[in-house]
Amino acid sequence: MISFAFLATALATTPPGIVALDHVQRFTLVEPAVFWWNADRATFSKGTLFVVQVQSEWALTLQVGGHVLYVGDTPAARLNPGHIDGHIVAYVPQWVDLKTVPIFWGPATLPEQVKPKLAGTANLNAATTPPFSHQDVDIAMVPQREFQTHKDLELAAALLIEAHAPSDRDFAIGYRAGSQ
Amino acid sequence: MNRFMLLLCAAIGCLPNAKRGNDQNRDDGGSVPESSDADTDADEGIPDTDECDEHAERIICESDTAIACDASGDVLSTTVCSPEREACIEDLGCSTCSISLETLHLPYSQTSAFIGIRPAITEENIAIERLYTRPMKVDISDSRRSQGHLELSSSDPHLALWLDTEPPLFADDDGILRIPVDQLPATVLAHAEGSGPAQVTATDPLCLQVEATADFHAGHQPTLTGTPISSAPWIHRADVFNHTDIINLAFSADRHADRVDTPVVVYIVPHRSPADWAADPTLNDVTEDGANLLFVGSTEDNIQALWSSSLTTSEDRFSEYDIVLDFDRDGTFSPGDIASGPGAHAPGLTVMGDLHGVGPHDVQITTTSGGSWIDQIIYYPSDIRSLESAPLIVISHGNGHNYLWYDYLGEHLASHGYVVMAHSNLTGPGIETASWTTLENTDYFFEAIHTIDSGVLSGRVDPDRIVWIGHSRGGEGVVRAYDRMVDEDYPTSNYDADSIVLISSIAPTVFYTIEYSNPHDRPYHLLAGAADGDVHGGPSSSVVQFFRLTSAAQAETQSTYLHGVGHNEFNCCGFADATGPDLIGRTAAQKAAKAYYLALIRFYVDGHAASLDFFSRRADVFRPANLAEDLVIANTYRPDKRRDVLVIDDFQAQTDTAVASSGWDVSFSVDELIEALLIDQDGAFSWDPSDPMNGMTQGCCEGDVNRGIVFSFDADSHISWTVPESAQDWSEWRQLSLRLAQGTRHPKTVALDDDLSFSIRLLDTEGEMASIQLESLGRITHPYRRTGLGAGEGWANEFNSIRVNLSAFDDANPKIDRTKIATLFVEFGPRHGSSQGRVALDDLLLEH
Repeated sequence: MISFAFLATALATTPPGIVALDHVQRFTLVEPAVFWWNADRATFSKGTLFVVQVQSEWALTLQVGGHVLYVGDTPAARLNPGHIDGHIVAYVPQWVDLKTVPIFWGPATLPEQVKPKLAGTANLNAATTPPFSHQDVDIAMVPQREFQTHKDLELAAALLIEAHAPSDRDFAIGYRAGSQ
Repeated sequence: MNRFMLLLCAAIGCLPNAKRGNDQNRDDGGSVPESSDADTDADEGIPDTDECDEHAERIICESDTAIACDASGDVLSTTVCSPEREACIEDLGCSTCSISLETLHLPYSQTSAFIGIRPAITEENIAIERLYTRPMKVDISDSRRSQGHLELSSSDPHLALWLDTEPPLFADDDGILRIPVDQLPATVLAHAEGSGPAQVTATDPLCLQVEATADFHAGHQPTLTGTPISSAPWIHRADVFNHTDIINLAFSADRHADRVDTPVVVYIVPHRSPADWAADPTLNDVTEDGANLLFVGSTEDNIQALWSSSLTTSEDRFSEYDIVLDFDRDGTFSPGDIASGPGAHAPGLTVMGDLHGVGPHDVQITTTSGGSWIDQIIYYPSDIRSLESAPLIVISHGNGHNYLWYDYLGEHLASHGYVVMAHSNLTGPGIETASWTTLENTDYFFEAIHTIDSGVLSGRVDPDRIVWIGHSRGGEGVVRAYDRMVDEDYPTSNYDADSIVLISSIAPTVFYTIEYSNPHDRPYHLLAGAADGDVHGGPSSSVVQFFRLTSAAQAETQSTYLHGVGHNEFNCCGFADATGPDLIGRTAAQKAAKAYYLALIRFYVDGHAASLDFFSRRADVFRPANLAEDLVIANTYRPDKRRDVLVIDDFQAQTDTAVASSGWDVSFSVDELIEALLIDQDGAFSWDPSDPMNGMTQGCCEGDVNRGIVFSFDADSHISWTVPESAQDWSEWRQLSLRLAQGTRHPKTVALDDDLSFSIRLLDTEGEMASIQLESLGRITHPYRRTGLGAGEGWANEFNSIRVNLSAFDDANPKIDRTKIATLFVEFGPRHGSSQGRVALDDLLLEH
């Protein structure tokens, strides 16, 4: 109970924290993968890879009390911390229209415990961050890609990390383990 | 007179032609020759029917009379043996009855000789155990004797005796060692297999009027080395030292009163196997100044520096030695000497190098991947192919961290011969995913081992010796992973739950209740920083109260809590989070982590007993060498309470403050004593009298059941446990341990403003007392002086284990009888240590 009170306090003071959209790319997976970042743990074969510019202090990846990056009703799969350069590379397991679906910071919790239809929807409804404009999305949008495996998705994300969050280069290197 | 007759006369002192005096029983045992008349029997044609008819040229005995017979079967002479001093022996005559039984190296015959308790003699160990015996010289005064035997027996069946011959001659089934007199003089070895006094008695069945005795007292021979202290027990005995330490000999003049004023040469020699010692007991001292010649008994406790420089040739490793006190000064380890180490599982003395130092192996680093979240970096010794099968150390990082951030630890452990694998850890979603990646990466490592660096590790990594180290969410992840294996039968292909020999968490989160994140029966270690700015350990959130995991652990549990250390100083590159005073920085923190992990893994993986000292002894007294001088460390070690321990009081089974968990009666004079769950009630560190468990983070939530007591004092006061008769024999227990913490921000803690000390006193049933002021064994740290979470200064209540060798009470008062301990006192106040304080106490144990 104590920890929940702590988190509720944090939520009440959450600013939008989302600055800009730098990259949007729809993809397909030939070999479906499990999406671990919500409680559904559903298998997915298509998704949206994106790079979002954020306020650095909200990107800080804490063990406890850090905010969760949402896209719509689901936590996004974050592939780098992003707090130094203010850029996060992430994806969600569906094709989303970011002109209508917001990217926002939700309350601190473990994403694996978020049920999209319950807490996820509640957090979406409580979000004050608006979706990006059509223009922002159109500028950021790049052509769709097909990845054979989730590992290939990570390797693509590694390039985005190096481009947008070079301070997180270790994460890019990490995704390339055994393939360098 | 022929030659035989001359011998007879020499034996019984006959006089030629002396007349036999049949009725003369002489007190002096003198002989009486036959009269010349007697010799005329044959002359007169009267058949001679005397005692010698069938015993020509012999000496026969009739009662206590020796009768010498001549070649004709006639009585040559008779001698009445002195009933007090002689016995009549066939063919010998009157023989002086006298047995000498001399304990070697025993200058004062009236003194009981000490023997250290050793394992029971077996065919396999007798060669080495022979060296641990106390020898006795046994003989009789009449060197002419060739008949009969001496009988040696012990009043205590724990004292084994045998004749030091090849092969050895043991006692018969009736417990009596029978030594034929033709083997005298002989050396008899006494070997103690149990404690207590014993008397060895030597008797001569042919001389029943005499016997000889030797007194012994057997007990455990305490460690021979230690560090001097200024009050009783004068020495803090220990057998593990850092290379920066001075090693002192501690030889009790009370325990070894029989050796008082005896010169002895002390040797420190490389540790050798029992077989090597038995084959070659030659002593070669390794110290720079050679063997020390000492005269024991000249000081109260015979404490003398033995070794003060160049303790080890390789500072990054450890060196093992045996100690032999050569009392016969013959340059060999032989019966009657006192030794520590030879033939034992552990050496007599271990000298530790700088544990944070690079090890002897060059390190290879490689990466591999089995797909998403199966990314690994592997550190291994370059000469792995020439090494024995190595254990696997797995490192699971925390949230926002990276598996490439633990080079410092991976390279360090690999340089010391271990194979280390750090893996990508899916911590972002939570603990379940983190545990999944730990489980799967461990499996994958063994699955793919044939492909890693062309299979160099194949067959060289032991899947039955796996250590899981996790940091932060990864620190909970490794605990959860083990829980899933034992509670949920998580399937693995290349290892199982028994393969996990140790789990260690660095500043772990505790998102789950202990039903789901539980180390269960695995040895568990917690490493955490008190300046953690993330998983801070305060009572404001259940998730950060990492001591909950140590409460839940059932097996051996240890914690290493570093003041001035933040969360991300345990990796290379996490953001700076350290919060609080006296920050030591990343380099110093990692130095400590490297040292402690090397010790931890050596103990739990390699069975290197000496390494446990870094956890079982207070870190302010003994810590890895050359860590940051200002680093404050609170540490605990709790043995597996399910075995080899007598729980006097852990406050779990009884809620009445007058009754211990063991059922023993408890009384106290300290103030404000309350027994309850170790849970802070208000989520803040501010002192509030309505929250007596303020600052406790050992529990918070469902399933947290760890209980203890808190109390205050500002005058001499105590808590005492009355020992029931059935539990009064403490002679076989080796240590008494308990853990204590200061109550953060309590007015008395604030007033004390220092680390805290106290005393322990034992009282036996005869009224003898032995008290030990424990400051020299370590003090209870003042809570880390961090602010926040309420008014005042001081962070979470940090427990420290104090462990006392019970032999120290013997050193403090040799008259204390540890077979009859009546009361245990834990004492506080000005006469016993700190003048005032607020204290939490838990886990009062007797340990083997």
